Amino acid sequence: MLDYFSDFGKYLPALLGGLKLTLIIAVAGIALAIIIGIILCAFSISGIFVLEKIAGFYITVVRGIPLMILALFMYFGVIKNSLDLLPSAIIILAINASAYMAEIFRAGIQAIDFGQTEAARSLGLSYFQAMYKIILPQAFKIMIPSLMNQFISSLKDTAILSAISVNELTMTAKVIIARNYNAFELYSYAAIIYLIVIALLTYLSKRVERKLSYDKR
Amino acid sequence: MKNARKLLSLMLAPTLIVSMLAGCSSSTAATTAATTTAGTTAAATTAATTEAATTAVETTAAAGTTTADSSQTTAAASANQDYDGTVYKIACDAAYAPFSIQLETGKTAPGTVVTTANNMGDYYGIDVELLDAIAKYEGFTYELTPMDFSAIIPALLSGTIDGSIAGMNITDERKEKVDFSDGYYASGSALVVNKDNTDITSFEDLDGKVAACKEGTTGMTWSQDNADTYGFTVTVYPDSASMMLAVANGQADFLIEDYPVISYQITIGEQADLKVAIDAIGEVPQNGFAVAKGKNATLLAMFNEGLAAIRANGTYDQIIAEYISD
Repeated sequence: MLDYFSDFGKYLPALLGGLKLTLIIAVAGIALAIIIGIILCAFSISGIFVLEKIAGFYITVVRGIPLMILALFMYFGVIKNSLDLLPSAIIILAINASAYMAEIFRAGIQAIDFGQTEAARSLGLSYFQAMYKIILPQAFKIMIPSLMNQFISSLKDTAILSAISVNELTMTAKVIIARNYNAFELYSYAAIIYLIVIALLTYLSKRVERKLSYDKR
Repeated sequence: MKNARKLLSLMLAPTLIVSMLAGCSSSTAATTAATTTAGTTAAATTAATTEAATTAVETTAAAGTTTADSSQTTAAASANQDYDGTVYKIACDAAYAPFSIQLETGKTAPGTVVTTANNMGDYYGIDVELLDAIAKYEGFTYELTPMDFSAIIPALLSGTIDGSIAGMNITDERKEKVDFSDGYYASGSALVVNKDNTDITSFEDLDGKVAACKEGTTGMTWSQDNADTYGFTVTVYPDSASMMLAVANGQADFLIEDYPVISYQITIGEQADLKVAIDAIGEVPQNGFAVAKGKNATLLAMFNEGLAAIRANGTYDQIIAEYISD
């Protein structure tokens, strides 16, 4: 039992190195995914047939492909040696998450009753003013739990990128295990680190949610 | 209520179809053909069965003993004077290219093909051909029985088989259980680079390079242990295919793989984008022919003598060259 904790200390630096990469890829990937997601969402609520179809097609395709296949296909089939591993990993994660992001944004916006847009328009606000001042502030609040969910999900999905040799937290543990066969110890250390990080994130998102829900008790 | 039922059936229908398709894909080609073409089911199945029966007959007919060619035994073999005509049961690995490879139907092997005695079809490969050449030279008769590598030493110890030639490295641990022949092949690790690479020819050239290796292999251990010494970085992939793709794509500069395995893949054109830069890394283990400890001394003596003879007369080099080109 004592060994278990002293070994944790021994492997912690290596595992934290992996965690750093996990966090970099997750944060940068989600940031990029939000940008792509906003564009896709704008497409899908634009009312323009072609744009709606493009967004719909992208979302269907990306959501229909497992991240593992997407990663192998993009890294070995498309990117090849035109990009380094880290930017490749970020782009792959962003593509995967962007489809979900777009749907989260769309759901949030469409959750606000259309009557509000009509009311705003009849009071003389332009479409964009109505969006910006009336709809988006309310929609954003609705989106926060789903956004947080997606972020946590993507953070854990970085483990799949070990397939393309990204040395993130899971891969770090696997490589150590391949040499000393301590599967129980190393995988539990990795699980504990993931758990702590995600518990912190959950706490943070709850705080933000509470801050924004001044109108509810 | 009615709508809910409709919805449920709509959802169930695709699930059923998908599960049916999944079921089909795992069965053999013959069965799939039989089930999909519903109209001709009976005919197709019959055809498939007949075919299977014929194959069985053929195998039985051809299987069994590979009698040595007596015309070649005129050589000065002396170890075979104790040979009492026993038909030796000798194992090879069920699948370990380039040492033992099952011949796919419709394909041809580069050299001698041996029909197995346990309904495993025809086999070829370095081990299979060397054994056959030695048996012919020494004039002994054998049955080839491919089996799982992990089952070979237990089978030797229980007497189910008399000898084995299975790409097995000679180690001290194994020497406690079995007697090995002289090493018949040096099977070390090779450093492999992209075929366009010209700047890696020695370990000193690895400075600043990226190594690709497969999780849990000796190649990974070597890479990690030597990364600081030679100044390269290590990337780890979960499988051989990804590791080789990374080097073929230029995403990594080199990889470490068993020399005969990678060299054979390059020879048959499976890894045409790669080439061997350094063919022996660290300690190079020898492969040996094995018999149970203290048993079949005659067989072992004949193998050693035959091996020396085919090495001397060029047959050995000829066989190796079919699978491994430098």
